[in-house]
Amino acid sequence: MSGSRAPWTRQAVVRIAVPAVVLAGLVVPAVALSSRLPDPIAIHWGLSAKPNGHAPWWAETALLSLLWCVAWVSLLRGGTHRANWAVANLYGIGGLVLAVQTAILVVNLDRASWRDAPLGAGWIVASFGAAVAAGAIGWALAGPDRPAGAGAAGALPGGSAAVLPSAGLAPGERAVWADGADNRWMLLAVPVGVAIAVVGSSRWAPVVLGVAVLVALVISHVRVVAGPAGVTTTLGLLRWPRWEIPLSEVVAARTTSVAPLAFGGYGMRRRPGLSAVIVRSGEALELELTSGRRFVVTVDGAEQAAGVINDHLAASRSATP
Amino acid sequence: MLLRLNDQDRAPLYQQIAAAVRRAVADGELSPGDRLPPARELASSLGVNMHTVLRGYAELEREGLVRMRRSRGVTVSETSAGRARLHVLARHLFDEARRLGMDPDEVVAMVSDLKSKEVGLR
Repeated sequence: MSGSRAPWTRQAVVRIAVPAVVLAGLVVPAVALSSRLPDPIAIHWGLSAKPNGHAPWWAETALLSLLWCVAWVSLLRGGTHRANWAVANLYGIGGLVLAVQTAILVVNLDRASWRDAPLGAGWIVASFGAAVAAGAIGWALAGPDRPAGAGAAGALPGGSAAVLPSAGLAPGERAVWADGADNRWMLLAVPVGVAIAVVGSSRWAPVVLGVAVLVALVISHVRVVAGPAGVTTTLGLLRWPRWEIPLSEVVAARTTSVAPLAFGGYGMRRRPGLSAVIVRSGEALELELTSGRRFVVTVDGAEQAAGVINDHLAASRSATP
Repeated sequence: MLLRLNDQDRAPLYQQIAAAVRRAVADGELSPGDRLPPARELASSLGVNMHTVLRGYAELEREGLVRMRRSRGVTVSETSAGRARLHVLARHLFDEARRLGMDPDEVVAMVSDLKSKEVGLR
């Protein structure tokens, strides 16, 4: 990628062309080799390398392709916040699914029956190695991290905009803002995905499925209440866990746009200098804290939330002598 | 959802909260079916006692503006928008009367007078 090329061409290659090639890499070899595969093929192995799960080759390929497309779309829909992390994580997933598909096809190739297809431990090691290598490639290709809401040139560090959002509160006026974010797909996708993964594989399957449903209930729904005393964030339909951030700990509030892949997934995330609550891709509220940490939470109407918080900060600063 | 409160307002805080919700419903900022934040979270964001908020919510429930249910929390009731607007209008009436130096009892007498005229016309 030469530096003189327009930035969008590079982004198009990184975000569209390469993932499309991965998708082709999942589907084309499976179709081409399908006549040499048993019906069904082995898709699940126990600790002893003996196969204990089977499915038609097209169902397994379709599922892997679907998982890949979901991850790919979530990257495209997300913003530029921590973009190189998002791309690196996506490419890591791409490396993993390509390695998994390769392993499944190779061990099933020219076998008479799915029972004759053992999976050696070497494949598992190689798959993780491929994931890490692919992630590194993604990081290198993504280029420098561009802060959210800034153009390619003249960008300010740390994702800050030149002007902080304001809700236009009058002097002496206080406001309470409440909203949140939901992810209906998560509510459906997590139990369904786990159900497909564990079907028939062990007697722990109902327990795993139950846990998956509970997890989906929690990480598909977040609510934030921002007022003159501080910001309260609750996760899940049970409104637990909750985080309370007093106004005195906030330096500024901004909006940003996030891709869950940039944080390593959905739910509660913790990185050096960053805590995040992510239930979907898209607009989010970002708080810069006095401790130096940042707190990011996906909410609808983040601009108004940030405005209310900044107005209260300005009021409290002008009040103190 | 955005609730606005004024520092100059000297009414008890639970009434200010109830009034803010009424204003929000009257302005269309809150619609029937919308959920209000749980009392605990509204209280902590305002820096007040949870019971202050609950008292405000209870007043709204008495008026029929909201419904409080264990499962769904506090939701704006279906028939609320018009009622809230009337309440806000009545508030304006008393505020205007006070500005003119008029006694609140005079306002009530004025409204009763209008009411009997209304009934008489039917």
